[in-house]
Amino acid sequence: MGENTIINLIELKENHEGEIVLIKAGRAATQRLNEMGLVPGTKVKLVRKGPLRGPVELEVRNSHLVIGYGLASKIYVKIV
Amino acid sequence: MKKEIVIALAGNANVGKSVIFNQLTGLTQIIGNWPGKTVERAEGVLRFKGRTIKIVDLPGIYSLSAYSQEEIVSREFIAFEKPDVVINVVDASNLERNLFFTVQLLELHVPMVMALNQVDYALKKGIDIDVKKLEELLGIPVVETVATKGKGLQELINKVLEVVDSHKEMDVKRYDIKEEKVLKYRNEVSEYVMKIYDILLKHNVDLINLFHPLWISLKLIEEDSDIVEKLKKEPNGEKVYEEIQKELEGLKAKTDSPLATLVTADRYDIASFIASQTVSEIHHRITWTDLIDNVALHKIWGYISMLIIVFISFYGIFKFGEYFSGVLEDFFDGFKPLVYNLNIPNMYKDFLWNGLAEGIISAITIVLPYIFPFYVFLSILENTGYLARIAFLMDEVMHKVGLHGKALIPVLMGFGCNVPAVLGTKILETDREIFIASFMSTLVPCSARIVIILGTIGVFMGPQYALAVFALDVLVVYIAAYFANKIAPGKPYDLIMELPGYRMPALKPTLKQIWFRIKDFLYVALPIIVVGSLALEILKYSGIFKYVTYIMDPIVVKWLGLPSIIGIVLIFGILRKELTLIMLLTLSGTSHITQILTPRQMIVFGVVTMLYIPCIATIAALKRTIGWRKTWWVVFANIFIAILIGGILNRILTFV
Repeated sequence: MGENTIINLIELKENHEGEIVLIKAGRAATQRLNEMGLVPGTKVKLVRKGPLRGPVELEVRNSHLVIGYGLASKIYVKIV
Repeated sequence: MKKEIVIALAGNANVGKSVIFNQLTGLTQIIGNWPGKTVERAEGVLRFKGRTIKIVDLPGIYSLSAYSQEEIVSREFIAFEKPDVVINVVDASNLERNLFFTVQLLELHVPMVMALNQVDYALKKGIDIDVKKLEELLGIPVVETVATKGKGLQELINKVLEVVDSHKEMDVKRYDIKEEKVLKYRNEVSEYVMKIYDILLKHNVDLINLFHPLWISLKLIEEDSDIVEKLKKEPNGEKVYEEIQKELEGLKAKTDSPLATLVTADRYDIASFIASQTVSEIHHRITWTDLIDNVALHKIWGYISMLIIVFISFYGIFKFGEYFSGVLEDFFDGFKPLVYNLNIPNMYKDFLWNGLAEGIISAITIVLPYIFPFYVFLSILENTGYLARIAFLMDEVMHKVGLHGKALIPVLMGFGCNVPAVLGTKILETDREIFIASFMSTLVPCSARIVIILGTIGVFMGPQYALAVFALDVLVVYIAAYFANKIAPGKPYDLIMELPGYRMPALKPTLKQIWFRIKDFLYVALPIIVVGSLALEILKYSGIFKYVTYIMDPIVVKWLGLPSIIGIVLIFGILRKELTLIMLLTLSGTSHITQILTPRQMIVFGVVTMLYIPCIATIAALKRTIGWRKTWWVVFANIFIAILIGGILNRILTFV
């Protein structure tokens, strides 16, 4: 996968970075993600994934967020 | 000069608001390193330079939208109570995210002072902030503080007073977004803010006197449900809203993102801009947090270390409790002859010793030695930030019962006391989650019930049996939550949580917190225990017991296989769970439970006491959190589960 490929956030490898391009969730969920700083254009680093369908830990805006698997799978990122 | 001032503390979760509140007012608001403790708003008073300052600690929130009850409570407080100054408490080590909230406060145009907190921790992380520049950009005073050490708080209050004394009312009828210095949105958004503002002005909408026009207009662009409702309720409101919606069609045509996303993205851009102008990262260090998390959140080692931590806590509490309990018991037993050698009738001796002394002694010798180390461990787990790691590790497990990892934090707090656990479930987003999590919390043994199990099963049968009972409880809680999830209407939510960095708990606030929790036991529980013991002794002489036991015997004796007297102590246990054990000992005049209960009965008694009903205080907390109807449901579910499991254990544990 080269640059500019758009993938699902949970497909991002640990310690890899991406830029959010799209959030495909309901109104409330989108708003919650937006308010935690995840808006289109935001750079995120995937720090780690929990086992199985566990949550993902992201580094974003110099702080760490944990997002449940279901919600994370609604975020699409561009590899940078 | 205004003599009586109201100030509100507002800011993200976990930035030290509660610590500042405690330092200023001397009250003890429970602190801890996990997001979202101030679920009910706390108030205190500070007298300073001849003025009375009422301080209100608002819940920690990330935004002023209408997605959680806490957010609505906070913004309505600011709108309706009109505090003289809002102190925006900000975590210096995490400026950008915190500024997102600051931007929203700026939009409200309330008089503000910023407390740039935890500057020491930020410096350790290699982050330096240009305070002068920050003040200039935000247009409000900024004071550096280290709340845990009380640094900068005096100056903070001085600045607050300066702001109060120099404050001038602004004219909301003459607003122009072009005059904003730092609140720069994309052109389309700014343009539509002014268009909506013009519509609101034209129709004389009263809402702009409550909230600032900039904020209201942005909220209407975001289609904030609560603000839309408020607008519609005004005379002509429906029509005004229609006009605004028609106007917004133009903005919607220009973008394919939801309008709320545009506004939020702009706010983050403003926050990012301010951060980029003021923060210089001297060096990006690999922090301790990163290193520890490599193990603590690891797919395998994370779970192993979690189990090890739980075991160490368990054995630490047990060993400490067992030792000091023995020491204290020997000490107090020496006093018994003093009472019995008195020259008074035997009945009075019984009252004095069984009713009065035994109650206090049992409370001190059995309960206190376990409660103290328990709260020490709980405070450490809480203040270091480890509880949030448990939320990460257990997220998927919780998913099966319709909750997410964050819900485990209040539920785990239930091991201390169910009351804060139930109240703490308000950090969750939906009523459905709050209901399931409060129900789970009531089945988690609080410190009182842990003491009963450690002090009976643990001491007389061995700690491994006590551990087995707790393991059984975990299973019960999980199965109960599974069923609650099945019957509760609605859909589950996913986890979004900030992961706080590890902190070394500051000694003084932590000790204060432990003392505050133990104080609750000494001042609230002890009197109830003493009065309860005395009442029990009097009832014993009045002969009323035989009627009570007559009614309870079919369940207590026949089904659960316990001595008849247990029925009485279970009734008193509704007041305080410690009472069940203390009264049982008082009534049988011994501190050796083996003289009254066989090992099997001990286990059944322990399990039933652990599950049978929430105590009075917890019922009150449930009522406040989920309403009467669901509270009764929880109470009856607890009784049912206790009787069911107690009866089954009584039948299958024939080997002990």
